Amino acid sequence: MERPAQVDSTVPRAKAGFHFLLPGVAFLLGPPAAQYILLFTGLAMAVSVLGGPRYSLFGRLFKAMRPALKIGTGKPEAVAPHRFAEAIGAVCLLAASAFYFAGATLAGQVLALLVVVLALLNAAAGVCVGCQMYLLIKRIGGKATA
Amino acid sequence: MDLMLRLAILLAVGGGATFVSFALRRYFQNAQLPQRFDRKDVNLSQPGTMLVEFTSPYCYECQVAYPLLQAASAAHDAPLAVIDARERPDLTSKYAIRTTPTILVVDRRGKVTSGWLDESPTEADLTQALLLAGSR
Repeated sequence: MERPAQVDSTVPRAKAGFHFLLPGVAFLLGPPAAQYILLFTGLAMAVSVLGGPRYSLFGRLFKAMRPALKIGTGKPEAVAPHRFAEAIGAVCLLAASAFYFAGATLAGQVLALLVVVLALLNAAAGVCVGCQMYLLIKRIGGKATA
Repeated sequence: MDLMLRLAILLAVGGGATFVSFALRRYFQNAQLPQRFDRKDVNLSQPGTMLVEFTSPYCYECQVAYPLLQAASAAHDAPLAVIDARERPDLTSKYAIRTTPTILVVDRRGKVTSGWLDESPTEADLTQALLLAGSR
């Protein structure tokens, strides 16, 4: 029986750890470092969404670190909702970076903090808000890109 | 905004999110399969082994599991009851369902012999579970 493309559940959660950590550091440091950290993180996420797991910087970093961290494999999960969630994160971080560059620091900070909270929920509890949005959009008849 | 204020905001927001995360994690980790399932709850009079799936509208894994359960139901002549957890809060509460999908294999006496929480079974596991329930 055909199943949708799947991903090891530990990978998106570990990636969410990076998505929480880097914007958190960016928020803490403030401009001018913040816009570059957010731009880097947003671009890395966008490349991962567009190119797939092979081009996921944070995913590859996690896989390289996994033996040292002694983290086993998790259960298989559908990949599409996670990609959608990552796409939302990438858009938020790229927008945050643009706001910082434009001098609208407060808007950039709010977006960066939003990503910090959502990524932390995913990393720490496995609660993927973006995935729920994907399913909601699918349910109401729209087409979520994946 | 100075560094200390940013640090305070980050700690407050991060701390709040961490607290919520661990509360949710604890809640879901405590989920358990019910011991029994009453087929009258789904208006089923046909005796024998049955399959029950608790779903929710935004549950992706439920959508993955459904065709598998449907095929197994037909192959083993075991009726499938799909219960939307949001539409039947009475049953969700009665069977202490905390996560979807919750999939149950129920034998003819109403005892839950196998089940899966928050995941869909493989075809082989499901077949084995249905054979086990049917042999009891």
